[in-house]
Amino acid sequence: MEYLRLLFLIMLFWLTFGVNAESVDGIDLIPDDNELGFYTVRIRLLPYALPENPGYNKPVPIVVKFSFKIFAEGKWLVDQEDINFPEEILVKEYFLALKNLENVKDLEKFYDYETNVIKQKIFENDKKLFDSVTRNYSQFSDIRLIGSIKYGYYDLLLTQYLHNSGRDQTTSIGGFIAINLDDGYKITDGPGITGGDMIFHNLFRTEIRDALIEKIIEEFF
Amino acid sequence: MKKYKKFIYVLFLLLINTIASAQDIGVKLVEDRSDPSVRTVVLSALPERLGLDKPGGEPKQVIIELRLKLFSSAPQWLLEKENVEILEERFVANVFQTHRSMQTVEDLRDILLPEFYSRKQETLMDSSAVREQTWPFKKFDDIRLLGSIRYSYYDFFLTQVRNTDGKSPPKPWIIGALKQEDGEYKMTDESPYFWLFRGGDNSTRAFLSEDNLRDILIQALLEMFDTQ
Repeated sequence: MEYLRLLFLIMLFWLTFGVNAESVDGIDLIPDDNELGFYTVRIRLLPYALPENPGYNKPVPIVVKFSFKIFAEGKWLVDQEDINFPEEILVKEYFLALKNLENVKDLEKFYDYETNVIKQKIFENDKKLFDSVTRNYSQFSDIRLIGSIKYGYYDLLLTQYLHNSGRDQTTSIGGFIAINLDDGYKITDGPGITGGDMIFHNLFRTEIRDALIEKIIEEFF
Repeated sequence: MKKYKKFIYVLFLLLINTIASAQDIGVKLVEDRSDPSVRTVVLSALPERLGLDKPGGEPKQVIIELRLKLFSSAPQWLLEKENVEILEERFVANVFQTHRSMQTVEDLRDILLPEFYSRKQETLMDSSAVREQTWPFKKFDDIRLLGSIRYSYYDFFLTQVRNTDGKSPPKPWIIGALKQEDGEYKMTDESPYFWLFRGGDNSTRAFLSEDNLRDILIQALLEMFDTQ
């Protein structure tokens, strides 16, 4: 189980910090004519570690494009009665469940089948990890959903957290991976756990995530 | 053992899911109107879900665009060519020749960036280490340059090396390089190569497995040359 714990920690690390290998050189949001609230995000990326003596070549970025859904109202969700989007309902309920977590079984209804089996195993065998997850969420008082990156059938939900304490309330950002199944929106580790489909992690990377959230807040909130 | 069976089964499903995800990659080469030697490589990825539940909604693609430069519409084997005029072709031919024939690490000094060379000096200290480095190249007798991918200041030369047996298909090889102020190329260490083709560069590692992107790109280029 040590191995699984390691995998899980790597996953958490990826989701939390990404890897600082690149910088965002430009970001555009292009509205989708066919679907309201949907945008094509176009991001230009350059590596961080540029050579000191680059000669006369101009640096050429690579371009990454993906579909993005914006939740423009960006309501803080904990005290919100009137929530329409299933993504927001999932985020709110999952957040509250994590904050008040006493038993790993309380999370069962939020996960898809595969994720459930794996998460249960990991938490059952590693109480310390279980405690650290619950401790982590206890420092936040509220959450809101900024938007979701669409990749295949997966939604990479970008969230912002409100911290409990302090006069100037600070926020931090994070996210969950979700999928819309017959029995509703579910949190999934789906393709992430075995580490094969790395685009998943890529789209959750700190640089892209931060640049997107800044851009959205600047343009819509 | 019994209690792990279900767990192993799920891991197996995830593995299948992952393999399927990694395989579904499309590639298109789009001509640049302002420069006939440039193509935009459009790579599109779409994961499939082969798990137990049926997902709803329309799947969305993620697209990565790379800039590709062509040096010839019909790349030739360079060592059998009498006069190699294109700078980039001379560079890859020289890199290939040097790797095949080197006797000591000193032979690499002219083709590597200084910091890369210093590291090589540490790893290729004796003749057996040098032999280990050169022997894979002995199986090949020629090289040709298909194109180069630009990422930041770096050029990644997409090449093929030819098998000496005359039967096996040519093998793809990517050489990372940095153009110097004097206009000459020097081979880079692995780090920018990893960014783009394998490891740390998260935006592209989705497609990579090194073999995956390299082979997709080279296959697309060969098809393009064939149809020109």
